[in-house]
Parts: sequence; structure tokens; C-alpha cells
Amino acid sequence: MIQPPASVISSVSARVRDSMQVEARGDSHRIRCRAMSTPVNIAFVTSSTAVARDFQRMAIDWIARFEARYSRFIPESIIGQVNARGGEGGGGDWMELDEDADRLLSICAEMHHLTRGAFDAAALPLLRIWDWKTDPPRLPGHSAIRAALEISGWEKVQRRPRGIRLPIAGMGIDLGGIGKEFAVDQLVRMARDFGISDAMIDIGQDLRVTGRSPGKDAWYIGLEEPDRPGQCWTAVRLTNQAVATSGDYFRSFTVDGRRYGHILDPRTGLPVSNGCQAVSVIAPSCVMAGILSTAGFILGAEEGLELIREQAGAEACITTEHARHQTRKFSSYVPA
Amino acid sequence: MGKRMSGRSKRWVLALAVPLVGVSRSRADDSVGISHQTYAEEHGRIQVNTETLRIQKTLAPWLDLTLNQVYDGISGATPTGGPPIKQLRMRDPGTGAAIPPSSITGYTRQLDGVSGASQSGPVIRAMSQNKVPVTDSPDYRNATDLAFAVTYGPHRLVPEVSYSNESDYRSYGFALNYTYEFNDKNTTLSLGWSHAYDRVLANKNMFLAESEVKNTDNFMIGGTQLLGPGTILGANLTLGYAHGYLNDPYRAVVFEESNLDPDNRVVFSGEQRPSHRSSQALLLSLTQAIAPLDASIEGTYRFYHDSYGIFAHTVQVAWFQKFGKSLVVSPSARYYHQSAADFYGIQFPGDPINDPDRVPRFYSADYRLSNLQAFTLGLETTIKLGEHFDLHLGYQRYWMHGLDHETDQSTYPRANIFTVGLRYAF
Repeated sequence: MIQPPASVISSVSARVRDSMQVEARGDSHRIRCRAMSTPVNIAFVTSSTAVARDFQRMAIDWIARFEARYSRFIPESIIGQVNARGGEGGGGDWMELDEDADRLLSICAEMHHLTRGAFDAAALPLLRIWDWKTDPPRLPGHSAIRAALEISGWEKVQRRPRGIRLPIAGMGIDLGGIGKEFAVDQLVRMARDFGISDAMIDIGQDLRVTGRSPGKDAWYIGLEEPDRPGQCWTAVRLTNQAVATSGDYFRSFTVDGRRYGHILDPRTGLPVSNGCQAVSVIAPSCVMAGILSTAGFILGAEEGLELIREQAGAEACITTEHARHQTRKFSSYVPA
Repeated sequence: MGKRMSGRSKRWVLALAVPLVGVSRSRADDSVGISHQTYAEEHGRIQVNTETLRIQKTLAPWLDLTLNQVYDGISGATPTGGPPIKQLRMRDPGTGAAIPPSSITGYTRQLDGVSGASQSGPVIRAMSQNKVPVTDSPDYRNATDLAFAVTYGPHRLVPEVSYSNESDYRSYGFALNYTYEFNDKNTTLSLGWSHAYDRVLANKNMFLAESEVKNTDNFMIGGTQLLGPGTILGANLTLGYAHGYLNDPYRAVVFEESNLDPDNRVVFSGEQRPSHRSSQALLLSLTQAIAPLDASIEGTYRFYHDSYGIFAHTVQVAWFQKFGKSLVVSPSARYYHQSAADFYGIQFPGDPINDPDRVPRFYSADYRLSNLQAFTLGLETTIKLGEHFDLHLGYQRYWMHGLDHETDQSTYPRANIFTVGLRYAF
């Protein structure tokens, strides 16, 4: 069974702990740290010092362990090993997974189906050829994109109970778009297990709340303005929902006057170019919000909203270059 | 939008008043005019660029048409509401202990978190302790007015429809003005009514959950009287009534026991104005021709009162000097003074969530409802270019000044207003 070595978990835990800041004001507590290459912000309310202390410790341990298990950038993680042994090694061997990893991959499969292929955790070959960090930026050629498409796609992944096989050399798994969101949902569950009824879990600006913010009737979450990152165009009022936003306004490059955003359409292998700037989705779980926001962005305003409307409890606002499109009840979350 | 709401209301009042200014109803030439106006507040505040197309056409001896098409492009920042940090009087909602302004880093709008794609979170910078908080509100406005003037002997009836569209505001208006000349055309009686149905749209508004509606009616009665050779006296009374959503959804207030966010920023709340507003405005004007100088002088006085508790006085003097047959130069000066609305303040007791019992029924920190005065100096010229063209150039300097010794003076705008227009008569 694939597991990350204890030393890797310890190393990641130490890094996350080093970045941790804890703040308490009365019954209000806040933890900030950096994990999964993104800021983590946890706010919660409890009058018990012991509960606060234990939850902080458990939450940070869990986050670090989650990153150590599922980050594709850590070669010893479960995903790192799957990619190395199953895909990059070209072995095509079956690999045994534990129950948690198996469940996470099952969710990937469900979400791939639900989003009509717009979400694809097996699109790593495409991510590898599109590098948004090189300077000067470099475009992959058509042949490279075609080749990457041939070894991408969840339908090529073979699964059996607690087992996975990547049959083609070069295949790979990436949990971007679902990993952070899954972690958010698990941390909310953990908070409830601790008896904490008022909490907000925010990992990389994908977040979920339960209960109320201290002194307020709900949690108020700003939605970032694509034209002015760091500022918000409105807020939503949430009590037991998650909200996630997908957009390519922050990470992109320009070649020959054409802008290439960082969100790829796994069906074409090309950056999304449908006029969408940002998609914010409110949903009962952060996984659902995150997946729908990504899928909505890829599918575009019309098909994206159609998909989101089909999901129980999901509402969305899609910002395009010229307008904002909302589902019918999205405005009911906008505070007076 | 709040600024334009105010402008829109004024436009309707002016529309009612205009027929009374001139005693003669002599028919204008058919004409097409275009103009550009830049209203630019200092220090990066609001700038409005207005393009106007105006067409006047006599369709029949008894029927005139006037069409106005206006496009406004709006940019810049406007005060959100609330004082500079150094003026804040904050208390901890739990303990009641005073929170020193020096520990406060800025303002925020009720946010516990941010959902976005940048994954870096909002950039928190401590704002100056000495500056009023401002917010950007870029927008546009398209407006169309269409009026038909029907003349039958001494009677003139002018129905007018209008439509205005902004990203967050729609306005539909209808007005009906009637004038009657008698006493050898030395006396004019005017009656007018206007109605505006406005929709304030929730899009992008932090303090508005769903679109809201506002209805405004204005009723006017007035007249002009030729008192002697070259002397015209005018008077009119306008009664207004607005009801519905009268808040400005962009304006915020600060309560003494408002929460601070984790970055020690004060959390704003939306303002709350009464949902009804009645107003009375009396306008008096006297125009005197000064034949030896080939000039005229016009003085106007306007008194205004409304149910918000505002009393306002406006005095304006304009000189119209003709030079030859082709040039008119008109310097003008205007002074405006108003008392504050009953519910205006820079900060309010309690907090709607933490201590609702102490919150007043109505509250607004919109500086336009404060005790203030304003001055305008202007110079306008109209130059006749040949037989058909008129060129209009204008400049106005505008100062607004607070008088309550509480509202920070930097809240009040100072603006330059430039106008250039060309009219072709045919």
C-alpha cells in the first residue's frame, strides 16, 4: 500500500508549523499558516481554551499530513508515487491505496462525470507542457498538445477497490481543483466534531463556513473583483455553505499579444478562452463549490450556469468581460 | 450613483422651472447642438465627462420637438462615509472599553474572508489616520429626453418622457408642463407635474441585497410677470414627494460598537434613511435689461425645505453682456447654503448587531446631507459664427465647504467644470 514516509510527513508538518500564527480575542480564535503552497486561514469560536488548543493542533497536523499525502510536488506523496510508478515509469502496475486516498479518487471520478469532463484529475500531462512560470513565456506546439491529450483523461485511469493503475507511460494525477476543497470540508467536519459550531475554513480563498462570525448574524465573504485583484465587487452572506472562485485573471502570460490564462480545458488541451473572467459558486460543500466553479469557468457562462443550476443548493455568479451572469437565487446571498 | 441620483432630481426640478425663466415663448430655430462637459473634482475624486446631443425641430406650426441624448462617463473616488480614523470613537462591543484610533488600520465592509482566484487574499494596507475613506464607483449613464411642445393660441402643453440607464440604476420619467400667456403676453402662468420611477439595482452594491424601487413626484405652479420695460419677475413653487428606497447603497456608516476585523479594520454598515421624503422649493427670479450697456442682469433666489430637516438657500447673480452682434459674455456667481438632515452624523451610537437598542432609527454619513455651503463662479461665452453656428464655451469653479466642525473638510469637493458646445441652426 502506497504511503508517504513518516519523515516526509514530519518535514511538511514542521514547515507548516513554522508558518503558523495563532491569534485569540475573547472567544474568537484564528489560525493562519501556509500549506499546499497557499495561505490557510481558520477562524472559529469557542469559549473553551482546551478545545481551542486541541483543535488548532489537530487541524494543523491534519493539513500537513494531507499535503504530504496528496501533493504532486512531493515525490514521496501518494500522488507523487502514483505518478512516478504508474505513469512516468511507464510500468502500468496496479497500486494499492488506503481507504482515504481511494475515497478521494472516487470523488475525482464522480466530479469528472458530473462536470461532463470539464474537471479532469488526470490532465497532468497537459499541465506539464503549459508552464506559466517560465520567463520569457513559451507556448507548447500543436504536436506537444496532441501528444499530451493522448495520455490525459480520467477515462484512461483504471481503478478497482483500493487500487489504481495508470496504463500509459506519462500519465499523471493532479488534485488541483479538488484537494484544497476536500481539505476545507474535512476541517469543517473536524471543527464540528470538536463541538465548534461557528467556524470558517479558508484554504487559498476557497472556503466553507458553519454558524456565524463573532458578533454577526453570518459569515460575510467578499468576492474578488477580477479587474482589481485584492478588492471585492460584492460580498455574500453565508451560514452553512462553501464558496469557491475560479478565474484566470491572476495567473496568465501573453505571447504575441494574446493572453493565455492558467486554467486549461482538459478536452482541448488549451487555456480557456471563452470570455469568462471569474466564476464564484456557493454550494453545500467546498468540493462541490470548487468543482462547479472550475467547470463553470471552462464551460462558459451559458453551459456553466446550466450545469450549476442542476446541482441542489448551488448558486453562482459568472463574470465575463462584459457582464455578470447569476443563477436565480444568487442575489439572496448578497447582504443588505 | 448617489451623486447622479441627486443630479437627476435636480434635473427634473429644473425642467419644471425652465419655462418660467423667460417670459416670451418665442419659438427657437430648428437646430442641432452637441456639447461636451467635464466635471472634475480635485485630488482624484469624481470626474464626469458628459456628451450631449440636442435636437430641436418644429414639426408643424403648433408642434415642436426637443430631443436630448446624454452620455456620462463617470470615474474617480467618492467618500464612502465615516470620518478619518483619527476622529473615530470606537468601543469594544464586549467590554465597552474605548479603542484608541491609533490601533485601527482602516475600514472594511463586513468581510470575514475573500473568495477569489489570486489566492493571496486582499492586500491590507494601513490607511492614513487623516484621510476620509473613499471608494471608486466607475460607471456610465445613458439618458434620453423627448419633449413635444403643443401650442394652441396662448396655451402651450409640453409632455416629456425620459429614460436613464446606468449599470446600477434605471430611471423612467414623465413630465407634463402647461403654460398660459395672458395680459398681452405680459403674464405667464405655469403648471407642471413630473413623475420618475427609478429602480436601484443590486448589482455590485454592498449594502443592497435586491433591486429596489423609488418613486418621485414633483408638482409645480408658477408664473412670470413683465413689470416694466426690460424687467421680468418670475416665481414658482415646487412640491416634491419621493418614496421607496431612498438610501444611497454605496454610502456607509460607522457605529461606535462596530466590530473590528482581524486586521483591526472597522466594519462598515449601510446607511438608513426614511423611506418618504417631501420637499418644498420656492424660486424667485428677477431679470433686468440694461439697454445703455447692451446687457442684462438676472438674480435668482431659491428656498428649499424637506422632511429630512434640510433648509437650503441659493442665491445666484448672472450678468449677460453683449458685444456687437456676435458675442455674449456671462459671468455668474452662486452661493448655496443648507442645514444638515436630522439624521446626519459622522458616527452613530450602538451597533445594529452588537447593540441595536442604541442605534438611531435613521442614520447617514453622506456629506451631501451635512450642514454645508457651496460657491460657484462661472464665465460663459456664446460666439456667433456666421449665420448658422453658435459656439459656447464655459468654465465654472465650484467649492463645497462643511460648516458643522465635525465632518472633515477633505470630504467636500472642489471642482472645475469645463463646457464646450456647438449649435447649428437651420
